[in-house]
Amino acid sequence: MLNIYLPRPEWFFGVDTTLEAFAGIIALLIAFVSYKLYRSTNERSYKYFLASFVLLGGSFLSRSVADAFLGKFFNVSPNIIGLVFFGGYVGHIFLALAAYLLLIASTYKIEDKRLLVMMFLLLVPGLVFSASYFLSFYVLSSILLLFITWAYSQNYRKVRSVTSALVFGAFILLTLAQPLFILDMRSNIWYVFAHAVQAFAYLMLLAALLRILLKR
Amino acid sequence: MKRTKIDIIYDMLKAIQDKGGTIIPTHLLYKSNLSHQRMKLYLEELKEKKLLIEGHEKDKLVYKLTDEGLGFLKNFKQLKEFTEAFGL
Repeated sequence: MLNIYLPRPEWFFGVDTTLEAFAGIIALLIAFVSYKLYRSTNERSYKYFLASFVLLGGSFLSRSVADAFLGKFFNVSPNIIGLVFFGGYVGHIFLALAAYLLLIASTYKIEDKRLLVMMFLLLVPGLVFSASYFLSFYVLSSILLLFITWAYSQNYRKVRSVTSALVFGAFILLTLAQPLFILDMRSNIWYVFAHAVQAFAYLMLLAALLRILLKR
Repeated sequence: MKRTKIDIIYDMLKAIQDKGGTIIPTHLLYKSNLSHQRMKLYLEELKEKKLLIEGHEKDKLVYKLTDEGLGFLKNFKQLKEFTEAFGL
């Protein structure tokens, strides 16, 4: 059964769109800086990282568009709204999962592409045949982000810099945000909290990026 | 603290820059603080990535810094901070 609709407070329409666009832009900024640095080194590890943040950016922008149409900011027929909403959320789900998998490949230094393809193929049926896309998505995201956060915790313990602490902190918050979106089923206010936590996580990533760019 | 790969690349390219953009292998070996074997491996990689090129001056083999190599040196601090922050 297709169920991807997330109930939300009426007053939050538009705010969620903005926060998602904000997250998408920051992810793309990180991808852009990563690309510039990849060109300096041609290191393969940057490729997966770069791709993951491009996908993450695309994922959030896709959802932002979907929510913008749901919020009825465009004067179009309900059929178009439904189509864009569905396409936007499906895009968000698959792009985000692919992004998290690539980030796992980057952080755990997984070189074998077949492993990544296998992991993605294992995730997809679980999602497609589940009773609720959004519930499965947030559970899978929580698990993937938990492993990514663990890798960043190890990195912070090794490096001990403010920037690595910001990255670690950001991913703790991103991991926390996922179950908060699930709690939305109980009460709309969790949707607001989840977005607030997620937005704060992306602010921390932006802070980390600014610290890097200001390094001369 | 143990040198990372990008630290070693930086040391090698900086050594070439400090010599005016061109260096002979012996000087590079000394300045990079690597074994001959490891230096050879790094040189192959740096040539592949076009961060330096091989040349000849007065019948001697030399290594020259490329524009890409200069770019690496210029962005090194940012590169190092980014690599460390995101565990790359």
